[in-house]
Amino acid sequence: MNLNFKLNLKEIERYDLVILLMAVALTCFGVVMVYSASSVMATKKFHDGFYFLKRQGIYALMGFAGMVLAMRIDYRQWREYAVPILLGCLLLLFLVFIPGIGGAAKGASRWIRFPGFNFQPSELAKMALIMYMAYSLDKKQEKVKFFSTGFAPYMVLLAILLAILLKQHDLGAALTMGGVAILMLFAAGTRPRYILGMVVLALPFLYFLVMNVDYRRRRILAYLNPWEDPTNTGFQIIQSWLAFGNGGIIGQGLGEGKQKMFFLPEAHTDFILSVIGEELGLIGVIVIAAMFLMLVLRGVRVALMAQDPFGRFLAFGIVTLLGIQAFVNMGVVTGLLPTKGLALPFISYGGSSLIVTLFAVGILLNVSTRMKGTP
Amino acid sequence: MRYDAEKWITLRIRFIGGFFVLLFALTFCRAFYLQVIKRDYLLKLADRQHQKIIPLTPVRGTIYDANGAALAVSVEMDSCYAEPKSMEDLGSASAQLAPVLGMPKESILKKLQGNKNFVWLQRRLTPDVVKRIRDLDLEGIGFVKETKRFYPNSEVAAHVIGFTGLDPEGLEGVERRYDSTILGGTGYLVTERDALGRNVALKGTVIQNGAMGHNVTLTLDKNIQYIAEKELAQAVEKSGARAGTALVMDPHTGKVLAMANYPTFNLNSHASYSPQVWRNRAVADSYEPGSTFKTFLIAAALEEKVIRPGDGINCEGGSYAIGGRTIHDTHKYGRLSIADVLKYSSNIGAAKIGSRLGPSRLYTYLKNFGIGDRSGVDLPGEVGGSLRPWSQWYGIDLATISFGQGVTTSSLQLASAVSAIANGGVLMKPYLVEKITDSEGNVVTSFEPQVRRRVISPETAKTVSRMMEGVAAEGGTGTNASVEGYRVAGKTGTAQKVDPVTHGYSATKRTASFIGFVPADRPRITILVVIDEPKTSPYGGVVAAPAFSSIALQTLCYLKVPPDTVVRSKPKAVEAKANPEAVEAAEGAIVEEGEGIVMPNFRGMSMRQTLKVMEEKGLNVRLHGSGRAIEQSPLPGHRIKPSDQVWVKFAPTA
Repeated sequence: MNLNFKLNLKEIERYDLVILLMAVALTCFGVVMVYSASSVMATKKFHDGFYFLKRQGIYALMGFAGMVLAMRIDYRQWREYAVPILLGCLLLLFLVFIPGIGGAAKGASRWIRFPGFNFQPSELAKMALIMYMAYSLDKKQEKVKFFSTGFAPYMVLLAILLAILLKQHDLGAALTMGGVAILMLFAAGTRPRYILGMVVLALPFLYFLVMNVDYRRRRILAYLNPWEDPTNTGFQIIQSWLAFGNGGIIGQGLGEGKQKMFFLPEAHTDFILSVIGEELGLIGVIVIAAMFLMLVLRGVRVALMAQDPFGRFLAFGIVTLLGIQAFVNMGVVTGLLPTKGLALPFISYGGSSLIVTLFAVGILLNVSTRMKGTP
Repeated sequence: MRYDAEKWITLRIRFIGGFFVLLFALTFCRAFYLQVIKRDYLLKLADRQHQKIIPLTPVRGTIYDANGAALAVSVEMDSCYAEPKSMEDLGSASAQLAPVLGMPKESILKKLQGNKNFVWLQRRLTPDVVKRIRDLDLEGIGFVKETKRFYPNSEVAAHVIGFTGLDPEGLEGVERRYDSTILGGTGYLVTERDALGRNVALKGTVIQNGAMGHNVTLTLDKNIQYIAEKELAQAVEKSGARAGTALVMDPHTGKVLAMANYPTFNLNSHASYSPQVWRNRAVADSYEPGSTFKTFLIAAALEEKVIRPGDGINCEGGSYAIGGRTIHDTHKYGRLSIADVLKYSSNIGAAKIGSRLGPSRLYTYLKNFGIGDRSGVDLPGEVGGSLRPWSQWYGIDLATISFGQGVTTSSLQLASAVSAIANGGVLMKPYLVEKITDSEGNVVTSFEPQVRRRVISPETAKTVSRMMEGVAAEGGTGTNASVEGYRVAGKTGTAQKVDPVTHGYSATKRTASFIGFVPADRPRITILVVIDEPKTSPYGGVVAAPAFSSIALQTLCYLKVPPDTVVRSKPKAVEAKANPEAVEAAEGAIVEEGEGIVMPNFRGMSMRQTLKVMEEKGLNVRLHGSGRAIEQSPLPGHRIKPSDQVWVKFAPTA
């Protein structure tokens, strides 16, 4: 792999600076909000109010380093590594199940344990899937239109991936990957009727998946009517609403949120937007959402202007990954979607997610240096 | 064909982009719906969560003196609350509680009937009241630990420490200045059961938000503070004065070691004193400094070389007309040396030096000494005093400012300025807080000495301090300030006070002061004593100087500062103060009896004292190390033969 570490001002200007700025700003903001959301809990649990702040800060620095690295690597080189990376990821996903290597939390085993921190291979798998699909769609070109070459193989791959993820009780990651894959296929030219057909076929399967697993069923029921069972599953979403309500337009002020202290579970991870809503109000939420949207639209522009199909699919995959995760998370905490464990990119606490996300942004930025003409 | 495919792909990508815009618009709307449209409903709902969160008094950190003695602590006490909705008979409960709480039955009942889930009955109760309420065994009555501020030393350093209100915030002193540092996060008491029917595991528990308050360590030394307060109180009472201030500073660092005001108050019952008494006069009051100002004048004049140490000034026989007015000296002097102008505190001499220096230079130097500007000390309510720009000095102003009239300073400013002379010419920023530590004792912030500026050269500082020694010497205005065994550099001050009614100088009211540093040639402490409106005598040399002397002697002993070699009174007395044990030995042990000499007890003596004894007795002893004697051979009382190895070991003291 050839790396070019020469960096000058002219070269920086070639990157899409809006994307760069949004990614850095969202990450930094996330570090602040993680501290605000976690300090009380961290003091109680670890006797150190800065516990999560310190860790998230380190993750952010590692993530920025990864992003700069990815920015310096010519994205076209990923084409050669797409297959090995995907296979490596599949291996890592299997490793999770091996006792002594994998780690479980709250009934879900998704982590590979390292001294000091746990790594979540499913985060990496998202990126690997995007790379592989970009590589493969580029190679097949027109053939994506055909069911046997352009659709069925991907469905097999997807089925394997999702099976592993569901075994890890990571429905959030499974749905994200499914969504990204479908959108990429759609963009590449797969006939919409295949996609629709698959979704229709998948629905009963999904229903079975949800209704057969107790906690998922309760979550769905809670989503449909949180007041039915406010004590447990409906509790999260109601407390999240109360946080948003308490925030109002301008919010209670940074650090002044109360819901996070008593009622809001996972305030520093999945429900961090509720803390933002309570402390910074509607204004804060809108600013965050607008920043994500801007990132997505600039990313779409990169995909449109990319000089080759591989770059286009790569950029598009990354954009959909960020967009879907951000929207699903916002949808969950505001009660638009049923509760599922999905982090808010850049902002939620979590090393694997943040580092992979920033690395992905780095790749997107590299694609943006090689664009042609108007979109 | 290829072109066509690409067109389709871009179209589809655009379509997805548009789809995302739609999705995000949806979240915008949802957030708007929750935070604006449904807000009132959600707020009401939050209120209906019967699980109430009652804020508790945050725990404040401790304030320590320089040696780690606690000056302000938070103690835990029980507060009593009621949850009326879980009480059975409000009437009988109020009747039972009334005598214990010392409140009328009706007012308790009124509290309970207020249709609330939670009411405080009484906060911070004494243990016996708590026990009596517990013994009543009433349903729906609970207790929670809250903290109350307690000051173990009552009056000591009251004005510096300050106090807190009923709400936990600091109202005065360090408690106020460092409030946000000392104050911990608000704790919450979770009461009642959850309307949502959630498990009530949290009931009655206290959830502490964030960190505990930080601790503050002062530069103040409780022992020196106590010495200063005791001597100041005596001086004020003996002179029948209205009030007084005493300051002890480390001239090299600007650390305030003691800051005493009189009258003082008990911090634990501050509310029963008049707010006038709370005022920290040392920083909050300014007054005309009077003759103490002459030291700065002479320092400036020497630095600017408009006078030389050997110069003589004609003091006009005690009366001198200038600018249409006549200046008088208390005694009539003819020609005085510069040192004597200071020693006898001649106003005429000062006025003449002032006119040689000129207004702009005098003003610049005074400003550089920090006169007329806040020192920036870490206490609330500091005043800057007033020093008019020299362009607004008219007529006699230059002359009067030269001897400290028509200008006001605070005690702290004055002490800092004199410290600049003591430490070789550098103005230090005075400070009171040494460091801030967290609840586990880790240092969060530590404060270092801060140089504000160089004011005069080390040579000038040396010359001025030597002149200031004359003040406390025989015949000077401040002989009462002398400290046996130590060389004192100082200056008396006696200033007329401005009558607030007539705006002229009062005929009777004076501010008497003495400021100086000891030991003169290697200063360890700067001391200022200010006595406000003394009745017995108006003179600083009479009412303030003795307090200076007592504070200096006791503080020097406490700090184990060895006495100077040049001792004016009998060395015996010096040693008695320095170390009684050593004196006894020096006097009694050397008994020439029979042949040879008896080995004296040197332990505790300084090297100088040891040498003195050796000289007197003709001993030849080897000396090791430096500081105070800690070990010797042979032991005291042994007879020494000429062939004996005789040695004394010294070790530095703190």
